[in-house]
Amino acid sequence: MDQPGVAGAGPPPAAHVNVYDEIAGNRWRTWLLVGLFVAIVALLGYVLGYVWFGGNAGLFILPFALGIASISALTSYFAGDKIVLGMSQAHEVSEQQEPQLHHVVEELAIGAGIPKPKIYVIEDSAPNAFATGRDPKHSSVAVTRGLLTKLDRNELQGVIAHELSHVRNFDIRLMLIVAVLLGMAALLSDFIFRSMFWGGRGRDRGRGNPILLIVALVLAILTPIIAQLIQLAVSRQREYMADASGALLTRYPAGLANALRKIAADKEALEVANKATAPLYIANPLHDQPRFLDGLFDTHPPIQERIKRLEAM
Amino acid sequence: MAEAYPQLQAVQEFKDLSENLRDTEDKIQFSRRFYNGQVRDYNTALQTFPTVTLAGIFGFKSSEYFEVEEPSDREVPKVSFTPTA
Repeated sequence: MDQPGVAGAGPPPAAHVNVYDEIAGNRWRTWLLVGLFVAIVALLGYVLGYVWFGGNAGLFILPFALGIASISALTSYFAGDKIVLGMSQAHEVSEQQEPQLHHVVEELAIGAGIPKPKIYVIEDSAPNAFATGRDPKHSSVAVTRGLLTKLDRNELQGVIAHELSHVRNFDIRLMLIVAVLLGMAALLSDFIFRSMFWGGRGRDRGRGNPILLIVALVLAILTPIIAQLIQLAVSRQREYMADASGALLTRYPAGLANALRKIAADKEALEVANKATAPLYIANPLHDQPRFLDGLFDTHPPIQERIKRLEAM
Repeated sequence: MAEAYPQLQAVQEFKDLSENLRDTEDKIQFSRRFYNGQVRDYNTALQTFPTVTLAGIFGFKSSEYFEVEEPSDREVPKVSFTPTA
């Protein structure tokens, strides 16, 4: 810990990152993502309309596709945090119920210069945590019961500092929109597959361009994969960044390193987490089996590497 | 203090007290750190291009870090109990 009185007055540590550049970059990435999503859904709508009904039906369906895309983008912006918290079965806790957690969050919010987020607990013994919301004024931090029982105060501080760095950098907005749009994309491609399967029999009269049918199929397969890859691209580097600026906030990288070690040692899977919400968490909550091309599809950087970097600070 | 009375650590009231003491200490420390961090960013902006030109035109002055002058103020307050029983 610092000497009282000279805290923060020293030269900036090597890990100092410019928050303002980060925020600007995230804003631009968010818009890019939303634009890309709307374009893909519109394209899907057009091609499907053509395949199903032929002729100009694609043009007729286009506004509907655009409408669906915009509505889901707006929903994820304004209500995404509620959806994610609801899906994770998190409940809000008062300061009387969880004084230490409230204290730690409030202290670090002061240190990060952001308003105190709302605090949620997930009743699950697997230790993990995430932050969500559309900006620091509308943000929430959720931790599991396991995190509260298994970590000491310094480790909890490390984890919360990591989460609040996500809040301050507007990572939470980007990740939230990605999470909801990813869910939406999965839903859409699922719908298309089903409709193709059923539609292929009754109306199999040689109508519809086979090339366009293939395009629709390819799009239906590619959309969730693209969405997933985008999600991974935006999430891995971000974890290192949040580790670094979290350590900068507490001036105690060992706290987060120890917490990550405990989280890694815990073999339980977090039951309320799923593919769409997994990237929000501080460490991968799924503990899924290694798959083909696993390195490419990891949502989180290897935890050992994160601990190593923290200890090198 | 707690070292002298090991049984104290088990008492919930004592735990609450030490949690609150730590919370208060941390809040002061983090406020100071945030302030000094902002001063550092501001002073850096005053000396770097392109903001340095604007700062010169409008006469922005550099700020001072928050430092505790009195050595006695720097010390962590002592907490002590006189056993009543």
